[in-house]
Amino acid sequence: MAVAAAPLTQAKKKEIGQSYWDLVWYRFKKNRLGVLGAILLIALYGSFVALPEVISPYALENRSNFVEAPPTAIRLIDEKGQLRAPFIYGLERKIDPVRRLRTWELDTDRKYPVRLFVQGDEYKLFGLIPMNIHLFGIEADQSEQRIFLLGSDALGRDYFTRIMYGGRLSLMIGLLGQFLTLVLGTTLGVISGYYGGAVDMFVQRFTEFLSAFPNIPLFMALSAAIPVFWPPTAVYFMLTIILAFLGWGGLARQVRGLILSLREREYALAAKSFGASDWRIMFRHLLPGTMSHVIVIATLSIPGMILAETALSWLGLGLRPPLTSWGTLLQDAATIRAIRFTPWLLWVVPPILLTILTYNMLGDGLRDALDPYSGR
Amino acid sequence: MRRTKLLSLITTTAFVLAACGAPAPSEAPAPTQPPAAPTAAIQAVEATPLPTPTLPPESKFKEAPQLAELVKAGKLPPVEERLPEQPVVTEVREAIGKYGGTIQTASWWPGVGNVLLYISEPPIKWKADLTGYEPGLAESWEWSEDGKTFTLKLRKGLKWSDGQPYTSADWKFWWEDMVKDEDYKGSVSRPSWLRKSDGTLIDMEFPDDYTVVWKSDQPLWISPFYMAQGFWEFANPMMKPAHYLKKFHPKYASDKTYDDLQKADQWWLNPEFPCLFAWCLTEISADGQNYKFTRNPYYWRVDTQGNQLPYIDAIAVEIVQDEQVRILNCAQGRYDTAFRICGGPNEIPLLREKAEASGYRFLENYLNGAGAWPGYMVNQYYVEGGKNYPDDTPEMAAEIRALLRDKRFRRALSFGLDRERMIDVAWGGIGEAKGATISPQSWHFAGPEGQEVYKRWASAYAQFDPDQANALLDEIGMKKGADGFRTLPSGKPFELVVDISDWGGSLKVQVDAAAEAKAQWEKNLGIKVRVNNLQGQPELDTRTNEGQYMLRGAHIAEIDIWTYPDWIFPIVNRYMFPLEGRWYERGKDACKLVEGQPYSCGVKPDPDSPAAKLQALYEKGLRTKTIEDRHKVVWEAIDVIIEEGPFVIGVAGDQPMPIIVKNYMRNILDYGVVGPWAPATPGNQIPATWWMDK
Repeated sequence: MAVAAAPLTQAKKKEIGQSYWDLVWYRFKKNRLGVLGAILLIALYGSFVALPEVISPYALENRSNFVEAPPTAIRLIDEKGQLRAPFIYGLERKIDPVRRLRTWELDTDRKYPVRLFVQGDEYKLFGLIPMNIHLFGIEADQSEQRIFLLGSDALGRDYFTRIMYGGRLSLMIGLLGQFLTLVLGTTLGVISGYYGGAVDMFVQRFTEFLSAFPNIPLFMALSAAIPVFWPPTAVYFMLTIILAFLGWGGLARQVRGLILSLREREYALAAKSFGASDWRIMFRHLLPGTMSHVIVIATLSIPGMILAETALSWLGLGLRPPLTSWGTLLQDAATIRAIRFTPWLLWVVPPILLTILTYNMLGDGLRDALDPYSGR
Repeated sequence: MRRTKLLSLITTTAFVLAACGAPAPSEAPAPTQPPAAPTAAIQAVEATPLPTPTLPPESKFKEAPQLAELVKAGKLPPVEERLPEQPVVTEVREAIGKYGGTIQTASWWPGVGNVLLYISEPPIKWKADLTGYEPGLAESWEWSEDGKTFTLKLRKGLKWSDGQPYTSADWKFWWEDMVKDEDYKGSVSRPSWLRKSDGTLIDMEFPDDYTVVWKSDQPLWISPFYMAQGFWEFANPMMKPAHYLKKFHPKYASDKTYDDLQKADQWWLNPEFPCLFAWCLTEISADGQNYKFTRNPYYWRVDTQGNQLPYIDAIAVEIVQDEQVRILNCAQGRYDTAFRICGGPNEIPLLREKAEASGYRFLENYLNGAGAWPGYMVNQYYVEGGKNYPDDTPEMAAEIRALLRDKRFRRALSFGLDRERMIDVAWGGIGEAKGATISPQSWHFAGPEGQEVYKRWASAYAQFDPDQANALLDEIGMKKGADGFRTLPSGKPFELVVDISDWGGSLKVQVDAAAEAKAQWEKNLGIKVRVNNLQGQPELDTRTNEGQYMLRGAHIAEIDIWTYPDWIFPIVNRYMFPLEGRWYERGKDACKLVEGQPYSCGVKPDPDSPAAKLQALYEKGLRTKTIEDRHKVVWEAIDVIIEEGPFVIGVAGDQPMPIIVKNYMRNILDYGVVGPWAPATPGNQIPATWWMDK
C-alpha cells in the first residue's frame, strides 16, 4: 500500500485505503505503554526462556558448599578506597554457637574480578549447541569462591540462576496453557454459537458447571490424580492441561456471543447460500471476525495462568521439585526463618510482578489498537 | 552490600509490620559464651539425687486463697482432710512459691497431648534428671524373689479431684471391668507387658484397699516401669475412677452402652472426669480450640513448708496448628511455657533475637535427645505391594529384599554420605555427624563402660568413604547400566525409594536432607534414588508396617530401651523389622493367617539372622533382675547391631531445642530431653512446683 501512496504526503498516506491490520499497528505504535510492554516481554522471554543458560553463571542444579550465602555485592572500590575494575570479595563461613547461626563474612584479602563471557558449566544452547560461555562470572575454582548475585539457597545453589531457569517453566506454562485454552475455548465457542440449540445448551451448561466449581479443591483433586512416579516433564504438561481445562469457559462464552451476531451477517449468509460447509463457514469466515477479541482476552489472561501456576506450586499442588519454577522457588521463602535470615529468597517476586505488568501493558495496548474504528 | 541492605530493609519492614520487628543482622550480639555441649550427659547436670524432704514438725498445712474461701463457705472440706495421711513433701528447685497465675500455652495437637505429657503423674515416675525411678502416686513397690509377683502399695487417703478416695477398688474396676472386658474398645490397652508367656493376661489381686498385686508366670522386672511413661501408659489407659465410670458401664448401669462408657472415659476431653493430677480438665471451648486445666483441690503434694501444691491456678491451652504462627507467637512472648511448640533447632536464632524484648528465657540445657535426626531406616523384610515399581511382583521384591538385607549394601549407603555437607544443608551447619544410635543421654550409656559402647555405636560406618562404598557395591555385583546408575545384581534397573515425613517435628529438615542424600547417593555411588514425600498421606505408616518401604527418613530418640524397645529389639510391628517384629508381637507361631493377607502373621526370622538374635536378647533382658545387668544386655544387643548393621543410616545427632519460658517462671528445671518417648519430658519434672514471680 505504501508504494501506491508514494507521491502523497505523510498525513494523506494514512488516510487512504489502509488495511485493518495497518490501522491496528498504527494505533498500537502510538500507545507508548503498550510498546514498552511488548519490548519488555520480548526481553523477558528472550532471557528467561531462550537464554537462561547463557545469562546465569552456573548450571541449575550446581550445588556448592556456600549454603544460604547472602547476595554478593559487585564492587568498584576496594577496602583501601581505591577504584578498581568490578570485583567481589571472598566469602568465609562463620558459625555463631550462641545464636546457633551460620553466617558468611567477607574476606577482604581475597578479591575476584568479575568478568563478562567467562567459561563455566557446560550446557547446550537451545538444547543443541554445546557451549560453556556464561554472560558473567568470576574466574575462580568453584569450590573456592562463587558469585551469587541474589544469594544462594539451602542447598548452596545460586539463586539468580534458579530464578532464571524457573522463569522458563513459569513463562512457558502461561503460553502453552493459554494456547490450549485458545484452541479449546474458540473451537467450543464457535461450535456452540454457530449451531445453537442442544449443542449450545450442552456447552454452555458445561462451562457453567466448570466455573461453578470452587477452583482450589478442583485443582487439589486433579493434581492428586497425577501419579507420583510420572517424570517431572509429564507432571508439567499435565498441569498445563489442567490449567487450560479449567480456564477455557470464559473465552468460549465470549466467542459464542460474537459468533451469534456474526452468523447473521450477510457474508456468512452468502457463504451459506454458496453451499459452503458448516466447518468452512465457522473457521474460515466467522472465526477471523472474532480474532481481535480473542487475542486481547488471551493476552490479558496469560498472567492469570502464570499466577495460577505460582500459587498452586507454592501451595504444593502444582509443580514439584526437582522442577524449578517461580512457584516452587516461592515455597522456599514461606517460613519466618527464611524471611528473617534469608530474605533474598524473596527476589523471585519482582520478576513475577514484572511479567504480570508487562502482559497487562501489552494487553491494554492491544485492546485499544485492535478496535481502530472506535473514536478516541 | 547496598542491594542486600535495601532488600533486608524492605523485607524486615514488612516483617516488622507483620508482627515482629527484627533487628538488622549487624546488631546481633557477639558470641560470648559457648553453648552447652550438644550431648551433655545427664550425670553432668545432676549427679546426686535430692534427699527425701520432710516437713518441719507441727507445721500447719496451707492452701491457695481461692480454696480457703471455698472452705470458709463450706463448699470444700479443710485442707487437712483433703490431703492424704502422709502428703508427699516435695522439694522445690529454687524457692517456695506464691499461689496464683494461669499458664498460657499452646498445642498443635487436638487433645493437647503435649500439655498432658507434663500434667500426668504416674505411680512410678522418672526422676527429674532421668537417672532412675522414684515413687509418685504409689508409695512403694516390691517384687518377689523370682520376680513373678509384683506388689504396688498406694498412698493412704489419696483422693480423686472430686473428693472420692483413690484405692485398689479403682484398679480392680480398671482390670476386671475394662481391661478384661473384651467388648470395651475405649481407652484401655492390653499390652504385652501385662501378659503371660502364653499371651494371656496376667493375674491381678487386690488384697486390701491400698495394695495391688500382679502375678505372672514370667518375671515382671520391667513391666511396672512402663507406667513411668505417664501419659500414654498410665493416664490414658489406667487412670480409671471406678465411682465415676460405673455410672456409664453397662455392667453397672443397665441403660448405658459401651459407646457411652467410651465417651465418658476420656479424661483429656471430658471435664466431668475426676483426675489425680495437679490440674484437671475443667473447660473446653465449644469449638474445641481452647482447653483449661484448673487446680485439683485434693492434690497430694505439699512443699517443704506445708503449702499444698500446685502454686499455679490453671493452665490455659489454645490449639494453633500452623507451626509458623506458633513460632511467631513464641517470639512475641505469648506463652508462659513452651515445651514443644516453638519449632525445631533451626528456629533458635530467631527466638534468641526476640528473647529480651519479649521477656522470655531459654532453658539452655534442653536437648532433643536425637540419636539420629534424620536417619534412614532400612526395611529388613521388604515385600511387594508398595507400588514402588511398575513390576511390583514377589520376585522383584525378593531381589530388593536380598539387597536391603545385605549388610554390605547398607554399609555402602552409610559410607556414601558426606554427613558434614548434609548438616550444612539441613541444620544450618551446626550438628554432630554420626551414625544412628538411641539418645546419647540414655541411662544405658551412663558410666564409662556405657559411654564406650555409645561411642563405638555412634562412629560405626559413619565416615565418608565413597571408595570403600563403591568397592562394596561392586562386590555385591551391582553393575552400572546404560544410564550410568547401578542395577540390581540380576541386571534389572534399580531405584531406591526413600519415604519421608515430618518425623521429629520438622518437615523442612527431612525434605532438605533427603534431597541432599539423593544427590549424594546418585553422585557418589551411582544409585538412583526417588524421594517419596508422604507427609499427611494415609499410606505413610502402612507402607512401613506392611514392609513395603525401602528406606524411610526417621527421627530416633530413646532414653530407656526396655520400655520402648522398638529402636533396638524387633518385637513390634514397626520400624526396621516390621514383619519380623509382627511375628513376635502376634504370638510367634501361634498366630493364624488372615486369608488373602500372606504377611498378616509377619515373618519368622531365620535362625542366626539379626532379628532372631535381637529377639533372643530381648527375652534375656526380660529375665534379668537388676537395672545394671539389663544395661549390659543392651550393650550386647548394640554389639549385634554394630556387627550386622547398620539398620539405620544415621546422619546427624543431637540438637539443642528452643524451649522457652517467661522470665518470671520459677522452679523449672533447666534440663530435659524432649525427643524420647519414655520420660515424656517435662513430665519427669514436678510442674506443681512451678510458680510465677510477678
